[in-house]
Amino acid sequence: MLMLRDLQRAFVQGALSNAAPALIAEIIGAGIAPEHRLAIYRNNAVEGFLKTLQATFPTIVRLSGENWFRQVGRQYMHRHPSRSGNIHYVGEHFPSFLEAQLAGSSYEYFADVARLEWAYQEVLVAADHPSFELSALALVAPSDYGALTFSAHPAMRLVQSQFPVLAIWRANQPDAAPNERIALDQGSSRVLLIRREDHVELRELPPADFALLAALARGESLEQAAECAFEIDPQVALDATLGRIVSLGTLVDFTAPAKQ
Amino acid sequence: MRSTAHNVIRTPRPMPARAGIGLRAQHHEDLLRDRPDIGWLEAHSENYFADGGAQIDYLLALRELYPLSLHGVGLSLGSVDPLDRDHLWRLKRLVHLAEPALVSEHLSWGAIDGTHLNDLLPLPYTEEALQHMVTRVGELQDYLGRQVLIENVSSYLQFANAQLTEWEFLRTLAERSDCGLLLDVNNVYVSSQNHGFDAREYIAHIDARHVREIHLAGHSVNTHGDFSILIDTHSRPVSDAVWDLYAFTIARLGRVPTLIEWDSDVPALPVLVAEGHRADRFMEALHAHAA
Repeated sequence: MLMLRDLQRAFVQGALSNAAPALIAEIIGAGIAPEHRLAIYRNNAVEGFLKTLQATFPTIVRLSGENWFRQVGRQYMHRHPSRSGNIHYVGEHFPSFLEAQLAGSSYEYFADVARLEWAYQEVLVAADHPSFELSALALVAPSDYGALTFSAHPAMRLVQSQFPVLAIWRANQPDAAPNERIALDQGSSRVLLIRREDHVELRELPPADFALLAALARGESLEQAAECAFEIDPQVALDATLGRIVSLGTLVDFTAPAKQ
Repeated sequence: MRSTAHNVIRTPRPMPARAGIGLRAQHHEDLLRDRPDIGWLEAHSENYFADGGAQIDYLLALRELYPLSLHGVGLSLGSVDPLDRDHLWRLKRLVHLAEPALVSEHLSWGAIDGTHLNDLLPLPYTEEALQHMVTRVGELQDYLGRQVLIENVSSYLQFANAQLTEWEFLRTLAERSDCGLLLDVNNVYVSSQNHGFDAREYIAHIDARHVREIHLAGHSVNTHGDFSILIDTHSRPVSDAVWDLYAFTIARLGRVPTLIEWDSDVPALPVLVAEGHRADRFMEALHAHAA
């Protein structure tokens, strides 16, 4: 007779693989073989996992087809079984799993599309935060601008890809026009995802805007972030760029350097 | 839409002895617009664990229109793993925000060594498991500062080392931990068919003083060659056999808030409301007989 901990270990092992001899001996048959009874739980675990994964990555399902998705989803579940009682987290490692699986193939762009879809899910449930007006910076001495750091909106994410992932995502939404052709080499993508009231807005940012915002979101100072933007575009008008990313609601607060 | 009044202190609206329906995201708009005549709503707690966004706003808006119950599916109370502190904290935050009339969890487990099956798995009905559940329910009630209800689950297997029946396990758990019971009549029926026990005997052994809520749901039949097994799918109307068992149950227990659960292949809201009204008619008939 197994104690509770050993029984639970044998059960999870038996539900995630096919071998569970220690557990089978603990199950009452009564008309239905213990193996068949355990198989119901095995099936529930797999189907529940795949259903949530499919709901999290609908664009990947559409691009790959359901059969491929379910097959790869099972491999993913084997490698990254759920680690939370909240099943909504199961997709967390799927983009990097796809990247490793598909590296070098003509489907390697799936990983970045999956990154966009995971970012979308994160933005949906992230915290609210009041927005911030650029005019608040009037309180900061101009000599301190370079050392300013900013806080990004909690419900904002940035996704960058060598593939046109936003165009791919849009073309695979339920309300998209059918049969749009997208060339994988038509250009890279720098996507801002941000929640507005009750929906998620996705938009392409100009390369220098994206570089500035990404650096500020990482916690770099305005001076360091400006260097990132200049690397992309030596002609960039920094105040206009900062004005645009603030007006998009991407930054919610700033910290001025402490006075010496 | 935006919520505004997260910090307003409100009194939980008591749960009426009427039928309620399970709250699903696809019905949020319809409920707010049509405001159907239904006694209360029950939300899966984990669906509203978000830090922000539209879902929690909908819940708080609906909370102004209907009494609310929060029903957890992922806490894994019966697991020997420690309780997940983040999960507990999110549940407590949601209870604080939504002020539900009832909070419930399951007599089940779902994880070991941090690996989750995200399912409501059966416990062995041993003294060891009973003591474990008493401790866990006590921890949860202490943390939330309120009573929780514990629900019997459908099961597809039983363990040979059981020392108690499920109803003995539930009754003793309620007595030792001061939790309430959420009696799922469909789950009693499904398990009785899968294990060959008498569902009415089970119900007859439930102490009416413990039961604060009843669940009703539809199930499916899986046939494998020469045997069938009932699966608790929540994807169909309540079966006639379960309505019969429900009538037997409320004849013993009296009127109890009764939830219609339908969370897979979810129908249009009016279909769900009509199923709730059917449960209301069972309770009204009971009253007529008693008068």
